[in-house]
Amino acid sequence: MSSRPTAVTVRPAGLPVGGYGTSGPRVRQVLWLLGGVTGVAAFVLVADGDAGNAWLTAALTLGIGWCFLASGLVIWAREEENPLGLLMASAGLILLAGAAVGELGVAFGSWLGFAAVNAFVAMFIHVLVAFPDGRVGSGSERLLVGAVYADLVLLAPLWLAAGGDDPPRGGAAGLLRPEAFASSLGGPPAAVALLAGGGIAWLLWRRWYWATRHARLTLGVVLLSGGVSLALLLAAAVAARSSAAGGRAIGWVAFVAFGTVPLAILAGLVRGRLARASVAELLRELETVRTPGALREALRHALGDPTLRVAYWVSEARGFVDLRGRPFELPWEGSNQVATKVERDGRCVAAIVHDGSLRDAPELLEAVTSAAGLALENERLHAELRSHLDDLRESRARIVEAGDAERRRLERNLHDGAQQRLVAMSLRLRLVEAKIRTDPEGAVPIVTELRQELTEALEELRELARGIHPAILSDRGLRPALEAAATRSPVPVELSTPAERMPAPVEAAIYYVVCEALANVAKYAQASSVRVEVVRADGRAVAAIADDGVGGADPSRGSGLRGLADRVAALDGHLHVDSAPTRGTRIQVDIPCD
Amino acid sequence: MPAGLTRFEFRASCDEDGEVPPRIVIVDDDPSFLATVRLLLEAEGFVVVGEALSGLDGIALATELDPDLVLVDVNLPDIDGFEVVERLAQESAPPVVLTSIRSADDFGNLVQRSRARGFIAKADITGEALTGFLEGRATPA
Repeated sequence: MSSRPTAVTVRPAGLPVGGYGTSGPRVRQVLWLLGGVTGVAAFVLVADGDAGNAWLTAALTLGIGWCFLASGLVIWAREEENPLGLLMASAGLILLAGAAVGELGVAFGSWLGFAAVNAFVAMFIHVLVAFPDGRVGSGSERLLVGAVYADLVLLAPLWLAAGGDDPPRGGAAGLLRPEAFASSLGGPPAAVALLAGGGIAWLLWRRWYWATRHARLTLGVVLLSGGVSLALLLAAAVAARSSAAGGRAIGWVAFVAFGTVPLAILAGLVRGRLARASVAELLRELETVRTPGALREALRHALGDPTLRVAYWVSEARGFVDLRGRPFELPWEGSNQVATKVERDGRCVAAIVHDGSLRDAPELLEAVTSAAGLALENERLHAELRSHLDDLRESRARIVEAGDAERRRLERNLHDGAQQRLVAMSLRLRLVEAKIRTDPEGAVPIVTELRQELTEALEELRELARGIHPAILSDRGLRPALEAAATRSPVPVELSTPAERMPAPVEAAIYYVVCEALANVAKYAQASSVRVEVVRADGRAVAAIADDGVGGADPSRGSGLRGLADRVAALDGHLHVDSAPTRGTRIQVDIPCD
Repeated sequence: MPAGLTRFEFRASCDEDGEVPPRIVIVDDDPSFLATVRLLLEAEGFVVVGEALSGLDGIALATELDPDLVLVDVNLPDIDGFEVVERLAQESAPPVVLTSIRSADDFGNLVQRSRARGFIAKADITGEALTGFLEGRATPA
């Protein structure tokens, strides 16, 4: 598995609008009217027909038809962009029309009714596949749904006609005569229906299996009710072969089950809709978001995800930080959580890390991120400030620590060096004092040693003083000081420095960086030459130290360069180390210098 | 005998006055200091019977040779001078005088609290001062 962070980019857009289509409302009014009239007609005709339990059959037919029609129209009104509503309304209308036409008592009507009811079953399967967004996505899904339509609407009537049989009377009511339904579904149409149905069942089961926690519930209820309905229909047809009454009883149960499907679909979509209503609430809550962290709570509330976290983009650090400015790791691919990046004006502002199931509600995410965009930008600035403050605090602590370390180093150097030599000299002087009268000759070599020791002690003190602050730097400026440093360097130095003086802190920072770099070159780089170049231009002083050594220096290792980076940062400057293995090391400091 | 440990032949059984010269062991990790102090003390009538470069060697030598005095540097590479004092005190070994490049003030009251006979800064070391410690004084003469 790759370890790439997963991120969906959502550009805040306007809030999604629904129900403002131009022709939608008019068409829906017509469909309501048409559905009402067709329903009444179907009821009257079926109840008056010759089916057993005609009234019950009529009532069930009307119930299912209206259920589909009404749910479809409600969904359509709420989600104009979702074709599921129109599909369901059409299915309901076709069922009612088929039931009515099938009871007219004419042969053509029976054929039409038979085809219409079969079309209803095909559309029903289409609805199950297309739930929840109304689209039939993959090629295999399209193929299978197409096969179901072709099989039920064309092949089944043709097969029946070719066999010289009449269509089962009573259109929709045919569904309630499983014995007739069973005979109509013999031969190749049955084989195609079983194959396509099996394929669709497999696809839907797979879709449910791979669905996220949030989606599983809604999808599960719809697919279960739909699957149970179809299974009952099939069971009724099979049962009818041995017992007409048993088949019919199962058929009724199947019919009731059909009626529950549109309700399950409606409930599922309303569930999503309810979540969306929280966007309006979020907008209200954002008005009162004042304290850091309150935004996260508001987002958690709006998206219904108590595990939601917010990360803010800090461009300087090229990474995400939390509200306190601490580095933030986005979830890796494969984890339960997903990061949705939020952009404003084409710039990344933040990432909302949320439960993976929210990916199923992209419109909701988009609405929420767009509503919270400005508040996120504000909090991002806050987080960025915190991050800078943390950097500042850390560098200040390091400067203090470096100062302490420097004092310890000085004390140790004095103690181990000059002090030790002076004590030894004091003891030798005492010896000389003891010997000078009794054994003057014996005192001479001791005095010679003393003189040697004194020279060394002086050199050590000089070295130490230069380490504390080189007098040449403050007295004569950067160029002479760097020339002196270059002379002391064991690796040949090519030096280029402007003669003019710069502010003392800038000179000192550059001097110490160059000295530290030269010391590192001598110790680690195995270089044959170093080039030191100091340039002053455009209100900045830039110094670069480049060697031709082995490279591979790690600036985070060792306190020397780190402390110098802090010193440079204190002057609003930058220190950059470029040290790829085998390509030498180049250290550059860049300090504002007016 | 471990490295860094030197034992000298007992060269004089008594001096011209018939007095037995004091025997001393010096413990310090700086060989040049050891050499200088030995010269100095021998010029002043001491007999340096042993030298050690570390605290543990110093303890071993002092226990073995049982000198009249052990002069121990506070800064040693293994255990420090105070630790040497404590360990020797447990073995009813000879008295210890601590020494250092630093002055006694730098150690606060550590010297007073220790079981050392006394403390002498390295720059002040003389035979006379050490004799004072031998006679029981806790500060150099």
